[in-house]
Amino acid sequence: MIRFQDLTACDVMTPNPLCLDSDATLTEAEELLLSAGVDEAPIVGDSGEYLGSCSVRDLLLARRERNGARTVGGLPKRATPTCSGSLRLAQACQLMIRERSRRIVVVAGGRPVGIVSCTEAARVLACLEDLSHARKPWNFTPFEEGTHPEESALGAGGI
Amino acid sequence: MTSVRKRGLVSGWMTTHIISVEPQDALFDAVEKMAERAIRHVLVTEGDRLTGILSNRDLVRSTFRTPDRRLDLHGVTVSEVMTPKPITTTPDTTLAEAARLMVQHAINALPVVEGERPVGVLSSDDLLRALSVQELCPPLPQV
Repeated sequence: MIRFQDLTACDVMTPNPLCLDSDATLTEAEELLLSAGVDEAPIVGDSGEYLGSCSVRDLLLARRERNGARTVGGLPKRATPTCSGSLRLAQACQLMIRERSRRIVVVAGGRPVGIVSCTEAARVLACLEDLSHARKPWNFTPFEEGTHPEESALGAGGI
Repeated sequence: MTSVRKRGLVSGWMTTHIISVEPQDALFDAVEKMAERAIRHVLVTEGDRLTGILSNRDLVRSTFRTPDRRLDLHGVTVSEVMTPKPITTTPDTTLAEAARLMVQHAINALPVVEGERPVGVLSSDDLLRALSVQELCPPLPQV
């Protein structure tokens, strides 16, 4: 059992997120995001460093505005907040609220290693025992792998 | 201040200010409401009865289904794009149970109903607020 208060971004993140190479074409990015069922993904450079994020909406806008961008690296970067894996979950949630973002990219050594989004927050809440006794310490028992078949379709969060 | 008892219930966290549209409304009207209020979901109602939910995700999916990636906002009605018969919850459901529904159905908002009448919306943003309650963790330093 892990106490809720001790949960960190690293404990709850979806690891190894789908990343887009900065030289991926807009069509390649669109296909990747749609086939993976995710709405947004980190963009990485040649050495895997985090450069920003790209959402399906960004891709739609780029098509509509015909701004000349051919690769995701040429799109205006979406400044999705980042954090280290050691940031406490409650603080990560505060960060998302403050930055009006629905996800945080967890980085280590400048590289994206995970995503914490509203989806992960919902998973944690779904696991918390008896919230109606909020004065009690909350305990977190992670889902056992395979107990939620729909989970694989969730990806890194929704719109 | 939300009471300790209510803190664990949907009623303690849901948004009660409901923004709704009707199924026959032009999509433009719904998108305008969502943009004006910076919200990601609107409820679709007929009278007092909930008939669907329209989300940003529905809009993006429908846009991708068109050949030229363009939605005719004036020529398409809400009913053509909305998610009909949405998964719902009730005010006295626990937050944990509501979160479980969101995870299991991969959705980001639950209309809160009493009978068929919508009385609020619980979104994943509300879950973030619940998880960030200050008693459980020191607030994030200001930058």
